[in-house]
Amino acid sequence: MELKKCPRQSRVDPDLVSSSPTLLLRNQAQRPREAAELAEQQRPRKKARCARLGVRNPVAGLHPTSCFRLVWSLPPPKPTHVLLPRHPFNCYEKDIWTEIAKHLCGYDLVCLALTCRWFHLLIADDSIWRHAFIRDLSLPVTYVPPPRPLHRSWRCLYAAAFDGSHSYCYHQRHKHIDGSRMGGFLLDTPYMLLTGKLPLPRWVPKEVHVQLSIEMIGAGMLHNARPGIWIADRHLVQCHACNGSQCTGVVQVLDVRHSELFVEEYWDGTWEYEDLGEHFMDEEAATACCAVFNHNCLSLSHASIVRHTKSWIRKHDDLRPMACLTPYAVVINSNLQENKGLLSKFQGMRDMTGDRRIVSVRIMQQLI
Amino acid sequence: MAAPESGDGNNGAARMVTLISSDNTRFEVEAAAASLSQTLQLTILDGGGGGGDGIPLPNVDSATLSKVLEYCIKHAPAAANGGAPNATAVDRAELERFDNEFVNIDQSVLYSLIMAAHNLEIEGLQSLVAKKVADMIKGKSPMEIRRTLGFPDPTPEEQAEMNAHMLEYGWAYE
Repeated sequence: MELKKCPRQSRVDPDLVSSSPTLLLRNQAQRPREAAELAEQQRPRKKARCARLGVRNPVAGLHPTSCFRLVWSLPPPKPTHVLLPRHPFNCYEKDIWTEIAKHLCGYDLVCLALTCRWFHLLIADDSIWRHAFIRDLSLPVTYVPPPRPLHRSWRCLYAAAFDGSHSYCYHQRHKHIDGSRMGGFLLDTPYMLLTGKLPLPRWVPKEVHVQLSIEMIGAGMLHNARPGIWIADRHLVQCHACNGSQCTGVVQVLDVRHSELFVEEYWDGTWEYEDLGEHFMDEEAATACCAVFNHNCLSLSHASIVRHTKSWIRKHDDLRPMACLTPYAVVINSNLQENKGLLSKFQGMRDMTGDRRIVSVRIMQQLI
Repeated sequence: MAAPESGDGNNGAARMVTLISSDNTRFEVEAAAASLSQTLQLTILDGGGGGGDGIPLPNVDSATLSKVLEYCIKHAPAAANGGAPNATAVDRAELERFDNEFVNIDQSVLYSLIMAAHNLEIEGLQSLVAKKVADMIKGKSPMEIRRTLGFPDPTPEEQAEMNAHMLEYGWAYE
């Protein structure tokens, strides 16, 4: 998919600023009926599941788990009972099966859990889901995250991350064209660097207001992002500025969000993206490239990304996007057709119920 | 494997130990190979297993032990090189090919092998067999997994219970 020119020259985004976004809340009333249907099934319908895999699936290509569709709020896991070896697999030990489970993706874990009571208790062990979560986000498997409260188990988090939902599911769904999951990265500091160009400007001011910094050098530093595991998706959406169906403008979006966002109040729809700033490049751009960095590991990840440009920049006539993910940074890049300039818009979403920290960021780039 | 055993370990290249399986079969192997097992390593470092006494392994039968030792002997040179920083790609490919063939075995052998690897704490073998068992499960429905693992069909009560649990995992379907 290539970025397409937007015929209009509007640089404002009234759709985001003024009108309320389309909210597609999860239908509470529908749940019991769907639940009943699910209960009738003897087994998960694998064929139907796989048929849904396609380029339009937000997490296609990541893993078999990426086919997940429904979003469910899971009940907290039951306390882990003592697992007694049972006939006929009395030679089986919890440790051994925990080891085996670490090689299984989410869908296979669920199938195993539904095999019998013994496995159900085994898979209730949250360490298995933690391992799967970290592995499926391409994070280093040696990473040991801080413990989570019981009511927010890793299983809940896994379900929220891999059920196929993405941030365009609920806001501006009609504009969404295509998307894919890139993986996760770690943020161990409130400082997050956003950039609409690479290599980075030599100096990104920490103190200057982010909007000013973005306008001037195309990169800015957030100082109030929520630390934790962040999930990065890439989307292609229709041009935000135009509402008409005639507009063929396509926007490349790097969407990063805190992994807890989808298990929080986000779904009530009151949280919205606000503009952080925009940067306009008034000359022909060869590539649309944007990245998000953990500031603590900035020089390390920047060096590794710049050194390995071949792994994330395609040949100049290949317009398909390409991404690069390190444990502390994410970058996407699309080669561009002939153009007169590139507009990069930065948006952030705050946690409106708690500490007002930034929990999600979008970098949107389109041709002018 | 092209690499000969050259100066591996501080105990000398040729030190042998004797392992005794549950059915009293004696196996004589190099200490370096047996040391892949964390459990045995301590005993060997203490000087056990040499000479006539041998190390008894009451949890492992001779068929399984010979299989385990086949793995250990193949992997010992690479392990002695400390994770093989200087191993060639050919060596690694050869080990991989060996591993693939090694786990291509009957289920019952696989199960006793994973138990033995667990008891003897052989990390590489544990994860190799675990991966193989996981591959047997991947992409299968709960019923198919039951058949693969040789369970009887579920009783109606058990089936009802599993159906109830399915609701918890609704997100994984469709």
